[in-house]
Amino acid sequence: MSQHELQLCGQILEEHFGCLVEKVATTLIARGRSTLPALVQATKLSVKITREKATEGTRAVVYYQASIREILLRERFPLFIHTAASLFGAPAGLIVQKTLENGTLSPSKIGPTDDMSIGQLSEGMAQLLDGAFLVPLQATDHVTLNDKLIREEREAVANAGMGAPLTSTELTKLRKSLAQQRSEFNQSVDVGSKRKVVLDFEDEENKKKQRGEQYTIEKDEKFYRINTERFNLHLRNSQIAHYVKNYVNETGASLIQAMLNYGFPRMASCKEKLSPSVRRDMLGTLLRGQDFNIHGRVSNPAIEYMDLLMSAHSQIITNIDGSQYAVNLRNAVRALQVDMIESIIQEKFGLVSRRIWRLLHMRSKQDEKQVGKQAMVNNKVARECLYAMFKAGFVFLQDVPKTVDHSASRTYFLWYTSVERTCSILLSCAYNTSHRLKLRRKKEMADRTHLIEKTKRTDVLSGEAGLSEHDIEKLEELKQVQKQLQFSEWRIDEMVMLLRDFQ
Amino acid sequence: MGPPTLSQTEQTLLVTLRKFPKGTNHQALLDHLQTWTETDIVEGLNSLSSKHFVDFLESSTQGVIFRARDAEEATKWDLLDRNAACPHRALTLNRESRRTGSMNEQERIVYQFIKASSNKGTWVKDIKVKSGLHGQVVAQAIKSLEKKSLIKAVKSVKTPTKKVYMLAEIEPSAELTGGAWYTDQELDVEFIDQLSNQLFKYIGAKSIPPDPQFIYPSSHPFPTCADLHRWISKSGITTVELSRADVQSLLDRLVFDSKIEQIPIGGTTGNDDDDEDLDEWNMDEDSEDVWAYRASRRNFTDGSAWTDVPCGRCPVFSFCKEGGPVSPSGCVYFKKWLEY
Ligand code: SF4
Repeated sequence: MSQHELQLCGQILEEHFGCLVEKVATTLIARGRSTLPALVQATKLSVKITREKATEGTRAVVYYQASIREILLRERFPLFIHTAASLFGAPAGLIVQKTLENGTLSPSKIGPTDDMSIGQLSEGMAQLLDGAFLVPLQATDHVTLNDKLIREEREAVANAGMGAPLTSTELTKLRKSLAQQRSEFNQSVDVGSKRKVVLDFEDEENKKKQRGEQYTIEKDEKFYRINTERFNLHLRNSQIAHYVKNYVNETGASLIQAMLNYGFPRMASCKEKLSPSVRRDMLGTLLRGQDFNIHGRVSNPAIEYMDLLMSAHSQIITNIDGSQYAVNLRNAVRALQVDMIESIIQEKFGLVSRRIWRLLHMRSKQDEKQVGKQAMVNNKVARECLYAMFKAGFVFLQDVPKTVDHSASRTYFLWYTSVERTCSILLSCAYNTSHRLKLRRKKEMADRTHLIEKTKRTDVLSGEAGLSEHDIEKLEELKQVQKQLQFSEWRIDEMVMLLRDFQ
Repeated sequence: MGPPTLSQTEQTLLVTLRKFPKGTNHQALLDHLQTWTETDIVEGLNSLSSKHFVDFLESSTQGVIFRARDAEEATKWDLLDRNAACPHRALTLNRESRRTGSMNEQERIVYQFIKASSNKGTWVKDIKVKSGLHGQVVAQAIKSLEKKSLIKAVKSVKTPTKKVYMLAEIEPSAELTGGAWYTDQELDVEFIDQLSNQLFKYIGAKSIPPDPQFIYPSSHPFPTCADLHRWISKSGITTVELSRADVQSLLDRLVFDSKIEQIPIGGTTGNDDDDEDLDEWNMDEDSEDVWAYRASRRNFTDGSAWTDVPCGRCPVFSFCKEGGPVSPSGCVYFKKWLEY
């Protein structure tokens, strides 16, 4: 975990819970799992406060151990709420918001609001459940990941050693195989609801209606939690479609979106390599009634789009046995990342650098002269670009010594790119930037404390004393600044999402 | 002006020598002129050499070999000699010979090597090694030959700091000048940019339908390198002659710029491993094209989330720290960005 992540966590907690929670939690992150007395000593707060604060963020801080991932994810709450609202309407948005606020939610506890009836809320809830955006809480959900891992390891050790203690090599081996098992398990297990075979659309519609009427939040006493992975999946899918829109056209984007929507009920994790496949003859029906926008006559227009995407360098469509098509999710996410890297390079270092980066990306390791020749620029220019990108973590150097003494004058230096490495560097830059944006936002607020206080005065609120024109202007300005900073924070979080959560 | 007169023996030797256009060693001459003694041959060669009718060369297999010059060149040398001796006659001599000054023995040797290198040129160091002359002598000879405008120094694009020498009237080879993309040993980036733009526009017109929201089916004849080479040669957009490999480099550059995409001809291979082999194939001048090209619709003009905030472009990103000399709260870039 980097310094930037820690700082960012602290800030998010401060924003969401205030400075005491922040203090306790950052101490927890820095120290790892701690007992209460140890925490009290480290934070120099009273026992009572510490205990209260440590349990306050119900989801964020559990059993006196802070989960960085969960804290960082809080940054995405607005996006989740927005996604739910735009998918299923405002009631769904409200439900998600409440769930996020409380960590868990029992639908029977949501009362009707002024503009939302029980019926609307029930429908929203039903849709969220259907899409597995909300899932029932299970007893094991309260066990943190670390606890699970520790227990698993303890059991495995007990089984393997037959009572005798293990040597350290045996232990390492055991841990490795456990890690292997876990990753396999994650990839093979299906979460979320399975789509049923639909035989009669109308019948299904009717059934749904009935269910909608039957299901009401008032009767549902179960507790639910947010399934963040489903949100990530949904957001990833729409980004892939957006990518296709940039590279091909609207029609291509709709087709890919339709393919992904079709497979969505069966997607469980962003780690899956391929989307559920679509039969060749089914493809055309995905965009029923729409024009395919192909110049000239072709027998199967949807296949043209598949061919186009398969012939492109990014390879985001995979053909299975000639009869099925699937979106290659891993390649698609990689293409999104490469696209982002290219944009950043173009903005930071200019066109020639982007050309050089792509050249290295497509042709692997090259020395400086080869780079200059293929990019068709002077070697001097090439060198400058390479070093600038090297400093910022976009290209890397590999040395190939000609002699055993590794003397620099008898060594080839080859340049290469690594999307993974650059992504992890960019991720830490994104955390860092997010942190700074937050600091700046805080400062902008601090600069105008007296103004903000004034707006909260009782006489101003009741309308007895007005704000001067200057004040109103300043307030408007503050609003703009806040908006701009907040908006940038969200965009940076989207960057984090692509770098961290989509793969 | 007639050629310098030769004695009977000299003429006989010269005729024999001319039987070997590539030169021969003295053993072969002995075999041919069976009545001659070794001293006769040596003396004859020396006097021919002083009259510029014969070159002494060094061969790796045969030792020193002798080669006859053609008559014209011998005359030129002779004129140079006389010219030096009697300057007032210079007016009547042809242009080549009007260059003042004579060539001494060392200069002549150096001139030989430079001439032999033809349009590739040769380095001082090579002349030194091959001639066995002292470095200073070679340098002097080169200097005086340059003064007489008999040779010229040319810089190679590959080794811009080293000079190579060739005869004044020779055009340097493409290897030295860098080929089509170089003007005065400098990479002509402007020319390349212009040409790529033209090429890009043409590929765009050939690969994107008039309504850009439409796509061409895969059966559409997307242009290949050969097509584009033909088009460039015919269109007259440049007077510089471009080879197919030149056009291929332009295309590669456009691919790296993500302005165009390379697509396999005849459907999708979809196999990454083949790519490299195909690339090499394509470099071969006579081979069939395996790639076609289509214009990419993605343009990178919309910025990125990170570089749209000041930190994404900040030159002091790594030093910036709250409480330090550069900090987010005191940041001037932010101030400007938020504009108030
Ligand atoms: S806060 Fe300002 S100084 Fe610091 S990295 Fe961002 S732009 Fe640069």
